[in-house]
Amino acid sequence: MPNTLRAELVSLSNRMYKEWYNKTVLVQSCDNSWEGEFDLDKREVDIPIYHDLTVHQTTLKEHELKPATVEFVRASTKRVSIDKMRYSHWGETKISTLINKLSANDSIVREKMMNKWAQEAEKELGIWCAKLPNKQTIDLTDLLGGNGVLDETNVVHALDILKAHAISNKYTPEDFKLYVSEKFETVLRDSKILTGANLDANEAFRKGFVGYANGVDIRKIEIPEITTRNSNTKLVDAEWGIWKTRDGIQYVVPYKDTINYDISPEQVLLGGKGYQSVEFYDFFNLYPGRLQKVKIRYTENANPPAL
Amino acid sequence: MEKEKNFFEDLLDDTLFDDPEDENENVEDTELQEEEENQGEEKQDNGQEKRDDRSQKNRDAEEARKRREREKREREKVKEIEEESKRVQKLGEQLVEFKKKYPNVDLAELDEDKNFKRFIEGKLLGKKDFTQLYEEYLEVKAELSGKTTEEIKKNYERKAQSSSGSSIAKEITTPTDVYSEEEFKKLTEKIPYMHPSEVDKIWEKYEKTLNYYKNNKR
Repeated sequence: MPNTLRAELVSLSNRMYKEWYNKTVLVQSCDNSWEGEFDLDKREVDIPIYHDLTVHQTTLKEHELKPATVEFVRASTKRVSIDKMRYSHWGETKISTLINKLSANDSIVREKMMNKWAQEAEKELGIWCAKLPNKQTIDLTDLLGGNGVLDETNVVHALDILKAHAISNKYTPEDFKLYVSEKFETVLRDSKILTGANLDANEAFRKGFVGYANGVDIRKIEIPEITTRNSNTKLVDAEWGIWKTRDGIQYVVPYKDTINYDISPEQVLLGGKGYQSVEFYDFFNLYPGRLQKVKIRYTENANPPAL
Repeated sequence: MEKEKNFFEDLLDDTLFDDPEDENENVEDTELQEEEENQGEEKQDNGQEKRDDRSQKNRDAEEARKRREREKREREKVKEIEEESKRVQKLGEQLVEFKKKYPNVDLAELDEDKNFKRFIEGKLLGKKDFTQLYEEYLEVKAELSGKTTEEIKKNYERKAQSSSGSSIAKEITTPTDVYSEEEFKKLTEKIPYMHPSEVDKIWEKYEKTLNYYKNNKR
């Protein structure tokens, strides 16, 4: 009989990955493709490159259907180094107890830990986006004119500005989605322009879905670190929104497992084995035009946090 | 029917199977004693009673009240006995229905199954009938063991057949929908590196295989 304990740890890791991943909005919105197998020693993996997709033109008279060298869609990849890792130590040194505890459908520990992992992943990605350089910034506080406050009277104009930026960069605005806080949703509701006209059957059930407004797909994220909140009401005064396509961020998790490590007798009586769930991951922005941060102000003079 | 009635009776509410007469008899004895004492006291105070009509009336009213209470208790006792026999009858009917649906399952074996009895404790004669409880138990057991309900059911049927001396050979189930040991071992090593979409494709079978080997190992 094969070693089922090892398989149970593998099963547990996969289950945990699915659980935390499904709790995210921003992380789920990223392209998660990679090719080949993760090289654990070099920590390298190949991620697809989309920018070299080409469409060739010819005329039927010329009949030159292969004017360029042979190429295939997604034929090229880029080798990247995986630099990040998340892990949690589990407070059990007996593997069977650990598996029984964490594998249970109603494991509170696992549920809480996966919430934490999801929050941390969202937070890390949100902060990273908010730190993008100025050339990847759309400053609505400036572009809206006046005091730069976004409200129900100018939200359509603000969305027009975002779409215009995509068009000017030769992208299709429909490929972009806007990730913002709950305050933006309030503004949209006040403006009464939120529609579900473009909904497919499952859209409304996707995590973070707010709706379509002025042709823009809007998603709600909950990352306190990229919002400025009123000290009394805690409502959002300003924030960094994220305007991106799916491949604007390539977020890969090419390795996930639950592994053991030695615990010295100084740490635990008689020593023993400890267990930790580990994931290697990283995220990349290969196409700056497909990822932009949006400076939004809802209250006069308020600014999103400087990170 | 009488035979089936005997199974699982111990799971019915214990108080209903206690003889309620014993308790009531004790209560009655105490009351009679009280009455006798009252009567003795009455004789002593006869002179006074004659002089006091109001106290006489009070005593009459007290006796009437006690009589009413006694009658009420008797009615309740009869009602309880009737209810108890109805419950036993109902359980018997449910077991007969169960035997009709599952003729191969040995009720005596099931009656001895501690896990099953723990499972149905408090649920018997509730919203679900015995057959439904048995089916639910099979499902729960299947979930926990990773086997299908059919496999669990077959185990029970085999038990029933062997206990009744049947010569039907035991079925040997060869799992065709699980990975071989070699495949399983390779996948276990590979899954941590696999893309989630690739893992999704094999996941159901992998989990099934894991449960299969886990259960067969123990």
